Amino acid sequence: MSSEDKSRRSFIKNTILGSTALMAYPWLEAVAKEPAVSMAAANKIRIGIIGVGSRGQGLLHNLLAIETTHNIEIAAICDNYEPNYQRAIELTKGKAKAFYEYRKLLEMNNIDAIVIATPLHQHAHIVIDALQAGKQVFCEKTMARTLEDTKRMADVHYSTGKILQIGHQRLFDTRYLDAMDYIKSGKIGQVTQIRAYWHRNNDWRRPVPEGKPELDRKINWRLYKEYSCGLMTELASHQIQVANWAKDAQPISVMGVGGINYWKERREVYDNVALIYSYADGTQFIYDSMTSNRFYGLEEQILGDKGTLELETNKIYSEKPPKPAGILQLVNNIEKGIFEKIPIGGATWIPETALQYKGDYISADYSVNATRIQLEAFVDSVRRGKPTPGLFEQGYHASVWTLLGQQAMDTQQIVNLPESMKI
Amino acid sequence: MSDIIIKEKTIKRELVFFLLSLIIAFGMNVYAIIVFDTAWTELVSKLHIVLSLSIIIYLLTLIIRAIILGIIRLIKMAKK
Repeated sequence: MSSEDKSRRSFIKNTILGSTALMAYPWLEAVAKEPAVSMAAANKIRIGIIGVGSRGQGLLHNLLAIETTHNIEIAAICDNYEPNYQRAIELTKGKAKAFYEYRKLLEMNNIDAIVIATPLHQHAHIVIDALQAGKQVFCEKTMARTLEDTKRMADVHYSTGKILQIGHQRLFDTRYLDAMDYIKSGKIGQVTQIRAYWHRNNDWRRPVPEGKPELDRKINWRLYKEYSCGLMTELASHQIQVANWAKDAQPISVMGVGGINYWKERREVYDNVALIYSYADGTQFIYDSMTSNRFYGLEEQILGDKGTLELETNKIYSEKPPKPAGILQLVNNIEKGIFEKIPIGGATWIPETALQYKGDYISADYSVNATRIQLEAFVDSVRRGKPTPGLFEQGYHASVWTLLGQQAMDTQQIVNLPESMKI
Repeated sequence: MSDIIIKEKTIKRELVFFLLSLIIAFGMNVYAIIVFDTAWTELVSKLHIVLSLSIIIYLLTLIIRAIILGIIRLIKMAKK
């Protein structure tokens, strides 16, 4: 086991051992434990990757990095887009069997697990075929393009008893784990509002090879309704999962609006969205995403009556910031006395602008690769042969509420969870 | 260019001024801890601030002394 791998495990171990909420994160126990990995060839886990575009290649890189430590082998890859197909062969140095058609890959009897990172609309049928073929499955978020497909995936997962892990790497990120511990231990008090946003300033279009305009929908699938819900399924789903995790609940309703107000070209999905998810205790989760300004970037803010968490930037702010040192307060007062102007006339109130306070770090060191840890967790659960309790449900609820958010915007109505989507 | 000679007396005098500055800065820290009700550990933990403050006070005394000396010399020159 590499020193990097050891430190990653000890990191998670320290996080959850110091946590008051170990039972809330059952998916971490396996990661924290030293893996009882037999290095015998017979115990090698053979993995096939379906969809090796940008995200798929990222997963492939991470899996290649743990091939030796976790006794796994990337035995097959599949992609029906030639440049991705060729690149994956290169990355696996030609050792993995390559396919254009995923069913051929699923026919390989010696494949134990499948990693799926195809465009969203292809998730459902590939996952269902893989589970029914007896494979253990890791599928990137969001689960599916439609609610019906999402439910079908869940049903097959439960009926086959096979693993279906949805890619939400924040579930394995020490920043988020520490933050959830702060919430559960009451450090930030009662959480009454969650805010999250993801702002970009680009058209999200990827270049299409010259002379092949027919490839536009294949390459830029995120921009077309047939294949994706755009900002919701590609970005918001991550943050909806975080909000649900922080509240340890699902919303009861969602309302929202979305539109195309900037990138008025061929795209069909919204280029800006704004939604409010409500939880049973009255907590509101306010979400927005846009593609014409990146000043605020992305963030998840969890607001309690004793403190605020900003998860992406790893910061915690107390409602009562610690006082500066006495000597600094004295010097500050002397400075004010000398340099501060006495206002004559002007505003009769002080604007309630944000506190100017740098806060503290949530997690001392958050440089771990959470994507790799979640893949390690997947491999560990494949080795155990059974799903990790609670993990699939995190992905399911995030996917369902992502799609319900889209439905709320499309119908301009307040949307609740349909009875048929309950699990 | 002639050598600059600093007499022992001058060094002693400047050391006394710096020591006084240090005492004043330290006294300010004690005062601040009492007035702003902060931790007494700041007596040690904020020594770097006390030291910086004492240097500033010493430099201020240096400027004030230079001004006073300048005025005295001007008066003496005027009398001659």
